[in-house]
Amino acid sequence: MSELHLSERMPEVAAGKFGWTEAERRHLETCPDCRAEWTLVTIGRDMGRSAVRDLDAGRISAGVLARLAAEPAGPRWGRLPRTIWWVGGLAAAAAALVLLVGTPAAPDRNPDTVAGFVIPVMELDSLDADQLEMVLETMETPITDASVIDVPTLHELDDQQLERVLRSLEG
Amino acid sequence: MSTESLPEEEVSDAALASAWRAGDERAAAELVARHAAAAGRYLYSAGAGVSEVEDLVQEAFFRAFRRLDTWRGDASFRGWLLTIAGNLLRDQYRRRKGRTVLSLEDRDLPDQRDPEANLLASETESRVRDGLTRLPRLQREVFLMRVQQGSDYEEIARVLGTTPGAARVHYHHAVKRLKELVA
Repeated sequence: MSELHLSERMPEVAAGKFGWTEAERRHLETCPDCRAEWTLVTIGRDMGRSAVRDLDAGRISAGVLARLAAEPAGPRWGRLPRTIWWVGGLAAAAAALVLLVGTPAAPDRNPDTVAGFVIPVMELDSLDADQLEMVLETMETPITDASVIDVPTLHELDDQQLERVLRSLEG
Repeated sequence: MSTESLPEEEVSDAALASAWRAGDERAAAELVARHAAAAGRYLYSAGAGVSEVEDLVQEAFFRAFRRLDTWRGDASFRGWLLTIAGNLLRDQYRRRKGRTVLSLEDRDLPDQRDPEANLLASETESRVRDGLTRLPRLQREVFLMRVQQGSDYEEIARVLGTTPGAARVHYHHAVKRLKELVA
C-alpha cells in the first residue's frame, strides 16, 4: 500500500462509499503527512454546509423562472441557429490561425521552421516530466494574481507522461 | 414530456431537462431543489461570501436554463452547473478587479457544544478556504469536485474538458499546496 494509493482512496472513503482497511487505518495513525491530507479532504467535503443551511430552493427557482419569463421574446444571441455559430466559429478560428502563424516569410533556411512558417506551438511529447511540470506552473496563474488561465495542453499528454509528472510530485 | 407519471426519485436530470425544454416549470424547480445546495457549497468554498451565495446560485441556474441546449448529457448536470458557477465567480473576480475578500462573517459557524475545539476547526477551515481561492482555477475545481461531489476523474474530465490523467495531476497539485495549511 503506497501513500499515493491512500490519497486516491480518500475522497471515496470521506464520501462513505468505502471504508479503510485495517492496514490503511494503521498507516493513517502513524503517518502525519497522510493524516494532514485526510484532514484536508474531510474539511473540503464539509465546507459550506452551514453557508447553505438557509438556502431556499423554492425562492431560487421562483426567481429564476421569473427572470426567464421576463426575457424578451424573439431572436437572441443564445437562440441563433447553431449553424450561424459554427460559421462564425470557423471564421474566428481561421483569423486566429492567420494571426498565430503569420504571413509567409521570405525563404527560410532555418530547419526548425516548416515551409517558412515559425510554429510557436510547444511539442509536449518531447518534454520530460520535470519540463511538463514547469509548463504546468507557467500556464496556471493563481486567481489572486491575474486572470485565470486554463491549461489547454495537458490533454495532449498520454497516461505514461502524466504518471511521470505525478511521480515527480510525490518525490 | 411529463414528469407526473414517475416517482420523483426515478426521474433523471436528463429527463427533467427535457421536460423543462418542453415547458414544464416543475421540472426546472426540481433541478434547482436537487442541485442548489451543492452549487452553493461549491461557490462558498471557492470564495463567494455567505451573503452572496443565494444570488450566485440563482444566477448560475438562470444561465444554465437559458442555454440548456448546450448540455449534451455526456457530463452530469451537476458538474455542468458547477462549471457555470465557476465562470460566474471568474466574472465577479474580474468586476472586482482582482480582489477576493473573505470577511470574518464568512466562516462556517462552529458548533457551540465545544467552542474551543470548533473555533480551531473553524480557523483551519478558513485557512483552507483561503488557500482554495489562491489555487489556479482548474486545480480548485478538480479538488472541490473530487472531495465535495465524490466525482471520479473520468467525470471531472468530461465536465472540465480535460483528460482523466490531467485531472488526477491537478488534484494532487491542489492537495500538495493545501496540505501545508492543515499540517
